[in-house]
Amino acid sequence: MESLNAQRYRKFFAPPRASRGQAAVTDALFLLVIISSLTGFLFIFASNYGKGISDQVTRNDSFEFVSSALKTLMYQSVTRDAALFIDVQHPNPDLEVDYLMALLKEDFADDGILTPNTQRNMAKSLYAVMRPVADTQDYLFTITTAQETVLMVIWRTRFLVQAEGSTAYVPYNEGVDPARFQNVKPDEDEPHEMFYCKPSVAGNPIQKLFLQVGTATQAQGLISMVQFCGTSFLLAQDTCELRAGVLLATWTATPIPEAEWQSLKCEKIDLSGIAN
Amino acid sequence: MGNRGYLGPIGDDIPSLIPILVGLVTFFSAFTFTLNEYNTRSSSFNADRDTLVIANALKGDSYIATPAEWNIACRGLRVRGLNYASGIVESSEWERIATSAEEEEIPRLAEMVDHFHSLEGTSLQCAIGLPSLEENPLILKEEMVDILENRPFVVLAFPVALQVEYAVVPATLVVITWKA
Repeated sequence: MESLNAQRYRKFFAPPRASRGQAAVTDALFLLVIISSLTGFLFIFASNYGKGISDQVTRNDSFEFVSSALKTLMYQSVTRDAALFIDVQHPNPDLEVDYLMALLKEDFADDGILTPNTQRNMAKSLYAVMRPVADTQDYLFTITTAQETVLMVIWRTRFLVQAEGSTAYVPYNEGVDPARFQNVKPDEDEPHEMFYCKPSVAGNPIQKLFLQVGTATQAQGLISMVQFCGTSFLLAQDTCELRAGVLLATWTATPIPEAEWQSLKCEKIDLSGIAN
Repeated sequence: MGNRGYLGPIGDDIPSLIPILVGLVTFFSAFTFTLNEYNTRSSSFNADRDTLVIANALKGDSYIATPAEWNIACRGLRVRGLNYASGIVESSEWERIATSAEEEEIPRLAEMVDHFHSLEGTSLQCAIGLPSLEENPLILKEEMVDILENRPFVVLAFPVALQVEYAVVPATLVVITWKA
């Protein structure tokens, strides 16, 4: 005998037999919706996983490169005559060799200005040390005191742009703004240039440059420079010690806008004979 | 009349089984794909990290003064699951290889391996997982090409200062790793 509760349940809640299949299909469709959401989540996870780690690995490698390069510059020797090279395979014992930093400090000490020979030695050393990344990365090396920029060397990729409505490509820094990003390409005939620059410290042009080039990896250090600052004949008693900041920075080759470039006051270096 | 449309306890559920099966197949496919992708990328990141560890151990403070110093750093390396070939390429050699007509990555790397610098008669190279090293003290270029062409590999290059006879010259530490 059916209980009263069972009769009530059957009357009000239990679906008629003809509707049972539809309820099961609806449940299955709900399950499908849930599974679709989960699948979507899994695909999003799979496509995004590791992007942050990959960026971090690239940053680590890049920073390790730049800091190693800066240390190498601090340790390395150069010929006193910048036109000559140290031949590792066939050493010449008569060649006058000195540490790059010693040469630089010695040259700076007398009048606070670096001679073209020292500047050339610095550019040669920088070129050799940064060679592994020079094809794809631009870089900058500076020595600055609180008052002035002692030396700045920039390695830059030459970009050509196509103005709107024109088919010809012209160098980027000739006042032509590209209509689209696709209208910019590296110059295949002369892909890179190197410059000595002498910007004023005021206005912080280096930081303004970094704002334009995207993420720059930087390594910095401090060196002591000596300068003769008195008038007596006893030069040793008339020296002033200066602290100078050394900075090496790299970034992915990027066109530098004309305003930022002009503020750096750069002069092109002849690259012929810069490599050993 | 009351039994119209009723196909029995299992027959009633057949239409609902189709979306359930589709859902399960979709879910497990996505799950397998995600798991494979996760494992592949994790393995790649581990290889990147271990390559950096090897490079840091070999370059030390970026100043290589003697072959003995290099050999100590090389012997102290213990990396599980990764083979490597590393050495020092002097900057003029690097320039020559970089400006050579060969533009493909693998032949260039093999050329660098072939020109690892020697100091006091000792080649500045450090390698594990190359069968020829048991018979030949130097890494064979052909063997390197064979490995690099058939396996995924990671390359890192860092500048170092190299003490030679009468000067300190710029050079580059090259580390190439691949799975053991």
